[in-house]
Amino acid sequence: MWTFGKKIAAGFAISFALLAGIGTVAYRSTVSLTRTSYSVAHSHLVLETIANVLSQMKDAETGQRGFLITGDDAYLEPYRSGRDSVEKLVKDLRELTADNPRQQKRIDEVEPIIAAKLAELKQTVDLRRSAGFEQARIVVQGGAGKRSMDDIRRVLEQMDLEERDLLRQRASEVEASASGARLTIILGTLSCLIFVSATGFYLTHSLTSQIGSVVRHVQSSSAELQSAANQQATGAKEQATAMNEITTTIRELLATSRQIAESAQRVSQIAEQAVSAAVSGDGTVDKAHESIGGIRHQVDLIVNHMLELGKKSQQIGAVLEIVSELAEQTNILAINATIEAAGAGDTGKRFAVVADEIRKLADRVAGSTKEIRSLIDDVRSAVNTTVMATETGSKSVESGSNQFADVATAFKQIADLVGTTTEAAREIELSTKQQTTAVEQVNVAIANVAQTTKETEASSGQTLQTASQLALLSGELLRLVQSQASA
Amino acid sequence: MSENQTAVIERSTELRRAFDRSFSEAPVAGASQWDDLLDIRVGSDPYAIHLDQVTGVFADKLVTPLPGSFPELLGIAGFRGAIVPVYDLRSLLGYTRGGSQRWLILIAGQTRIALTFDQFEGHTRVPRTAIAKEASGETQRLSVREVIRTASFVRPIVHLPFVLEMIRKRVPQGNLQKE
Repeated sequence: MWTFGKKIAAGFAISFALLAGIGTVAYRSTVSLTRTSYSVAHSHLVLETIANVLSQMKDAETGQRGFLITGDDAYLEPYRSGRDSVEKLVKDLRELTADNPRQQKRIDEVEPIIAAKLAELKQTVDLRRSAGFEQARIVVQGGAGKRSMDDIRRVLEQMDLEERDLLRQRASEVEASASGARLTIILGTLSCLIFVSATGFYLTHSLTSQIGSVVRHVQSSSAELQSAANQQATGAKEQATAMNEITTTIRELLATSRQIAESAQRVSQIAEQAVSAAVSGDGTVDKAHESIGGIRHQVDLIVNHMLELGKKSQQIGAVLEIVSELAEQTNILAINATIEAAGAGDTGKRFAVVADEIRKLADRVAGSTKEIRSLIDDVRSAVNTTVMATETGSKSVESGSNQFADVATAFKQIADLVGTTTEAAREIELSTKQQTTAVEQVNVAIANVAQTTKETEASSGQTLQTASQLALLSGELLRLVQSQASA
Repeated sequence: MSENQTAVIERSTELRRAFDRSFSEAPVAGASQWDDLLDIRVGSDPYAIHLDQVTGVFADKLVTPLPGSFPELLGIAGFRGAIVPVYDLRSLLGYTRGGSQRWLILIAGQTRIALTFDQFEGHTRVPRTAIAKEASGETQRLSVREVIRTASFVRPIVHLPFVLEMIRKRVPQGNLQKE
């Protein structure tokens, strides 16, 4: 598909070619016409020169006759004027007809005749002045002058005829050139007008349709651009608002960073104090660890003693079981003795008293045994409770010792970590100061960005306005194009 | 000296004094106004047995089981050179079988029979006025016809002659050993 430039350039090129062709033809016709006109004028000049030669010869002859008749020198004036001009005129005539050999030949022929005529005139003038009229009349009457003059007229007439033939020939050439030029101009102009009109119609129709389509695209794009510019303007406003908020936040962040830097400095100081306290606490932990070791040893001794006490209590309980068994058997024996004594009648009464006392003793032993068993049970329970509590305490001490070892290890780790924390606090302090500096730079950058955002907002408004104007212009252009197209 | 040690010494002194007094005093007049009883437990219930109805108290006797369809008969045991059938007092009094059955009494009389029970609590001597007839409502069993009634407790007295009668009714006469 050809572009507008190609189409317009092609139209103008063809028009230019036509105009160039018409101009070339017209130029050639004009040049030919001019050249022919120059030849005509040249021919007229040759004819005029021929006529002047003849006229000057006549004037010289007229002055010679007047002087011969009157003897008055006043009549010699035409003679002298003609004599002096003829030579120059012949010379001019020779130059004017230099391109015509026939005319040159005639000039060669007439030039001695003119010289002879002028000599005859001079002779007669001199005779009139020296010998008088009669002598001069004899010479004139001799007819030499007349013949010369007739020859001059004849040759000049031939030259005149030839020049007039050339003149007619050149006039016809001028007419032919003029007719060709007119025909070329008329036909060329008509063809050019037809082509230009057709090209103009085609270009107008093509450009109108294409421009209309493009303008409609431009109008659509303008609307989209207007919408986008509107959104961009809204976004720029929101961005400006956001940048204000960011600026405020950055200022708060800057203040916070300064506070953090101060806090980090204090943390660094406190961490150094903590390192001192940790080193001091490490010694205290070692001493406490030794004390806990002593406590664990004592607790182990207590546990062993209490276990020994429990064993002894168990042995006492075993012996007491024997005593209880003996008391029970004694009681049974006493009851049976009482029964036997009762069966013995009066003789057994005294034995019954003894048996009853034995039974009472057995009951008391049994009661005491129960009390002792209860006490031993209490002791064993207390021992067991103590052993359990002591074992629990031992385990607690063991666990505490282990935990304290862990605490000691952890305390050393804490001391190391506190040292590391101190270094970290110092690094944090330095980093926070650097961060504060960076935040200040960010603050400056954000201020610049905020300024740029404001400018962007203004630019967005200008873009929106431009997009609106573009939309209006595209609409107007579309109306123009469509009206032209419809027209 | 602690308070507990002082109390123990006082109790020891009192026991010694009572022991000495029992041999220094004259025999108590009117001893027939007192009854000697054995305090036992059948199951978890307290009972008493008249001492004059018993010829001996034993513990941890080896009882050899005998085949038969009489569930109250636990077996036989040796007492002072004699083989005596052993019956379960729990079953005879209507309790379910079980328990330790560690204690035995040998019933006085012509027929030698031993009874097992759960626990022997001791010998007790109560005034005869403390023994009362079984009142209606306190127990419905014919094996209990008297009770020891004090201000603090009431203890039924097992009527051993009825127990012997109950055994005789269930066991053929020829199977019971005469003394």
